[in-house]
Amino acid sequence: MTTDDESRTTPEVEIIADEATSAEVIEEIKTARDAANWAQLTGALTVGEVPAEARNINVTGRRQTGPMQGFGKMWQKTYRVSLGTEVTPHEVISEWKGKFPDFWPEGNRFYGPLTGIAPGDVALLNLTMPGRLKLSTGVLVLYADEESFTFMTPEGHMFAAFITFSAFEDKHGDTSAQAQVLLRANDPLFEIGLAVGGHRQEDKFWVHTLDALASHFGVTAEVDTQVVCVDKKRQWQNARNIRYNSAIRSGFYMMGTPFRAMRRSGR
Amino acid sequence: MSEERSYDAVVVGAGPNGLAAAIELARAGKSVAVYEAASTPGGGCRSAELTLPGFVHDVCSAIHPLAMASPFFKSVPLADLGVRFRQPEAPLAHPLDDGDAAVLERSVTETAKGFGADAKAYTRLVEPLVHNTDKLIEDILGPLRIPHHPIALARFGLSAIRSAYGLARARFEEPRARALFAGIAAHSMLSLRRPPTAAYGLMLGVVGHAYGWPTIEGGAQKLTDALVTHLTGLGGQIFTDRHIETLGELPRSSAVLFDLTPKQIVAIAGDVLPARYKRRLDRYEYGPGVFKIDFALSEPIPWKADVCRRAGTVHLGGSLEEVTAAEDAVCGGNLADRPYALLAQQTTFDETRAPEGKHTAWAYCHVPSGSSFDMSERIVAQIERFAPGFRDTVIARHTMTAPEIEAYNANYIGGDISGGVQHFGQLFTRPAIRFDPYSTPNKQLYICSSSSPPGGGVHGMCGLYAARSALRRVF
Repeated sequence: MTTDDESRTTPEVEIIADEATSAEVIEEIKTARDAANWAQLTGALTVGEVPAEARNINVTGRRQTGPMQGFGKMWQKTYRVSLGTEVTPHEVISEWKGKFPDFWPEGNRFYGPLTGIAPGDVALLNLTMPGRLKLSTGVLVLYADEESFTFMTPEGHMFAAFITFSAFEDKHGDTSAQAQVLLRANDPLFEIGLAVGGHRQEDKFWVHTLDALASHFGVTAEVDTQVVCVDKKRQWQNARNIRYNSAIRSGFYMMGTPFRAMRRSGR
Repeated sequence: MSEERSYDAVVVGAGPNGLAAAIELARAGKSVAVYEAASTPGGGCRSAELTLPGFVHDVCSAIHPLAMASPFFKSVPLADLGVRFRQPEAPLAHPLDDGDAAVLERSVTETAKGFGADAKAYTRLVEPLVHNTDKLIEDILGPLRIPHHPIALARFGLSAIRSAYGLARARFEEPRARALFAGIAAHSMLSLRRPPTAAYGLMLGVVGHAYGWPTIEGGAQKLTDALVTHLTGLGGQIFTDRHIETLGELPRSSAVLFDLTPKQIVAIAGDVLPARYKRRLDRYEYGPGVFKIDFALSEPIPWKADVCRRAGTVHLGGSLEEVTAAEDAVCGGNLADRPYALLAQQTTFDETRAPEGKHTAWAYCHVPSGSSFDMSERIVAQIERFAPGFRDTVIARHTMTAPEIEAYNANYIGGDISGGVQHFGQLFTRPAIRFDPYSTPNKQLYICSSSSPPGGGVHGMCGLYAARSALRRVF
């Protein structure tokens, strides 16, 4: 018998496929029943055809990250709005996928492939941050079917996260649209940012998105927000994620804009 | 959902017992509201994708023999509410080091066939009880009272009153039957040398023969969802994310029923309970905790003994002596080097819980109350012992120590999933010795959690009896 000498204080999720199972198993997962709905994870992200004004400085070559790879506390944020009985979950997701950028708050741009949202697509995001910083980052479409789609974030994004958009019929027969984010801040800087207003901004962002979606369907309804801290522990071993911090890199990129302009005009 | 100013009754806690109490009150025409601290109702009956997308794991309870057998659940139209029980080919297997396994089959005869010299003894012990399962359940799943079926109960009691260790050694000669019985009895979370642990071995075994050890298709959450739908259909209301700290936070009502343990009840309502009763609640004894682990697997568990592949539940602990030693260690405040672990492999008979071709496994072992020791490797070692190559099938795993389990559900004090130790002193008299254990000296307050008879398990009977007590005394 032993005594209680090795302890910890928070639940743990460990993804150990890479270490414990063969490449064959990973291949099986990729080709499972609903393989067509899942992205083929290739390791490094590549961006397809996007408009010329889209800024891609933090996506190409980065790997996708889930909450396991993040640094900060793990949060589950759920935003839900009821859209009534006039619209089906399929219609909601079809519209949401097709017009995804239209529902975002002003000043934030989503540059998806022209094909729409499909598994494996990588979209660029140019977001307006406090201090007029234009933050350049992106998302990978990890999963998509007729009733839901899920994004995964790249290294350097504010969050290491899964973001799932879904629509479903509740027990009263009403169709609800939902955005659910399972996230950790990717590095210590973003963790501080979350604590000093980032959470509020994040909540406002998704509430606005769902509001806009509801308005699109001619519905005025309150967005229900639920926030749960899933894991209070910070993963200090991932503090070095800061080397990819998209805000820092976007900031440097912006500072270099005049010099790039001068260089172009000198050519 | 809008909140009314007053209700006939308010239930604090939306676990299976809280929901059962609310349903019984609503059936009697009373207006009832349930307040739940967590974001979703369910208490110990929830499911979630704990490891990877597409892999559904039961967060607490996983195998539900008592949900099938319970008079309360029989009174709820579960099938109409979308609940499907999935039965494995065999309820239970208990592998041994010789590469074979003892198996609890649905048929007593088939089970006995696997016990060699103990076949007759097993049949003699179990068969009469299996014939009287419903009578026994009626008398056992409730408070201490004059039995409705005294002969059946007496027959059960003669064996059940013993320790599991004592009964197994007295009745069986071979390691196979002894080990199987020990594994079932160890669900009690008590030392198997202590009476009446044989009662757990007999009762759960008998229910396994009579009702099987099923799981709920798609996850335990489906059972909670059904109860919630049923309750709201009866006019009940549920409010989540409402952590109650004082009675003043509750709306006005004639009765308050707590699906909570004595510790929380004292914290919330200590001011309106007599000092003597409060002292009894303070002395209430909690049992050992559990360490839980969930696996996402690339393939079924590669059991050495093929029969284990047919079983929904597998007990990992080896011989009677070994299981007894492991549980003795835990009850003595130590960690077992080779713990007795309970494992459920739901996806072998419910393919809806994982992507096609993939599997889940759910396991836990007992640990001293509040232990934050990570038992993952010891549980994995026990699985590897009987299923070499298991490690290579693990894609992801999710673990919870005893304090984390308590953080997840405040009723699990120190990780105790039974709502308090279930020895003789607390079995029928929990949480305090009273003629009606669901009532308190304050006529407005009632206890409907597993800290009241008949104790732990997803059966809803604590809620049912507490609601009846309130209906009798208040309305």
